[in-house]
Amino acid sequence: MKASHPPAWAAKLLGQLISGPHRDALAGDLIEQYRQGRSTAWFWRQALSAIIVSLAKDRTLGGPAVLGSLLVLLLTIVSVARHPSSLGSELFIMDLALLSGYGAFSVWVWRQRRPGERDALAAGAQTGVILGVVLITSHTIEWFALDETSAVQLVRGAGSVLLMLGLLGVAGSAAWQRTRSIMLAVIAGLWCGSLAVVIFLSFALTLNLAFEAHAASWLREPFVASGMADAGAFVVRNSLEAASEILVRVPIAALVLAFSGGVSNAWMMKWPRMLAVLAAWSTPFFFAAGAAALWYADSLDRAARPPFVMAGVLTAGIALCGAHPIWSSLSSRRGDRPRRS
Amino acid sequence: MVMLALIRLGDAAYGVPISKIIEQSTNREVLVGSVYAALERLEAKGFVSSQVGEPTPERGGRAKRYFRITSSGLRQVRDMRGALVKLWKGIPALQGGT
Repeated sequence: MKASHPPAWAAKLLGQLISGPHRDALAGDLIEQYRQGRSTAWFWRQALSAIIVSLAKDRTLGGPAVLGSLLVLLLTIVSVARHPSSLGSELFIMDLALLSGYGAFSVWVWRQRRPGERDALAAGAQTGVILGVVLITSHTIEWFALDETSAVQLVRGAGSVLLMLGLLGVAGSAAWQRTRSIMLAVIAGLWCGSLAVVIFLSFALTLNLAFEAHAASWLREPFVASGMADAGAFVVRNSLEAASEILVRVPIAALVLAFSGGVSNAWMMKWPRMLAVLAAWSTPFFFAAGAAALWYADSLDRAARPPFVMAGVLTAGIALCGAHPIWSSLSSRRGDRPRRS
Repeated sequence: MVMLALIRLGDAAYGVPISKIIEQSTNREVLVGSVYAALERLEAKGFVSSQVGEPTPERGGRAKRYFRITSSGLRQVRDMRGALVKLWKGIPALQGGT
């Protein structure tokens, strides 16, 4: 039997990067086998494969999100390093600080072990991935100018915003359904938003770096108006602005909507079935009214739009946020729901 | 395969012997992380239960986790064996080990 210690870095990575209830037992098994004569290469192979398996089966997606946050940080730094003249404001520092916050949140999620927290975070992760795909799809359509007519632009723009509102509400509602905790519903919503932003920024910043010439031509008009000399630097500064907006706005929206989703679900669970059915029937009308307000706003002058846009987003957002609570209210707890005798 | 290994090992079933018995049966290197992933899934389904042993110095102070197959796990193994035997019988070329 070997008396030596296993490779220190592999053991350290194993201790830090593995999640799950059998983490210590797994590490102990590898150390025991190493001391029985297995090679250093075997230990490294086993440690790395165990880390990959652990990351892949983590329903909260905390580990991949940590890597995603690091990737976004790296892409931001590389973008600025390629065009140093894009600096000159506090945007870069602000983005780095915000991304560090996202990274810290991802690490916190990754290290959660309690089943309640993990259930809520898994609900947030599922909706977060869907929201990330929605944001990527919308950005790709806009980037490659696939939405040429204003009607298609409206559907894409308003559709992605409404889906975001709806999914953040779903995250809160689904987490409440799993845990019966409003606090965990809010955390699930924040995780949904955070994950979606990391997925989206990883994609958008990679796209900008890979197709910089296309990005510059896409932003030609605002670049000329900006008075900057370097088109690439303008693209980077534009990315930093857009990133800071999304990094700030999405968590705020997540906080409000996930709270609403969780509270709505808790509230509707106490409703008589008849009221829940009534809500289910009226929701499509609410959504249609909101969509009609947005459609009408699009036909107005820019200055006259805000009240209709606000009303449209609010009405359609309420309908989308209510969808999951209504559905879960109708489909679960049928046995203990108060019924008319 | 993991459940059969648990049955063969009885009370001595923890990660190291489970991996070794599968390795000896298949003549392939077994990834211990994958064995634990399978054990976690089986435990979540109620086919396997586990309990922590004493920490030992040769394991860097880490405790072993002993696994046992549950009665529903045993039923599952029997059902699976029945299904495999039926499927096996439907392949004439492989009957008799040829």
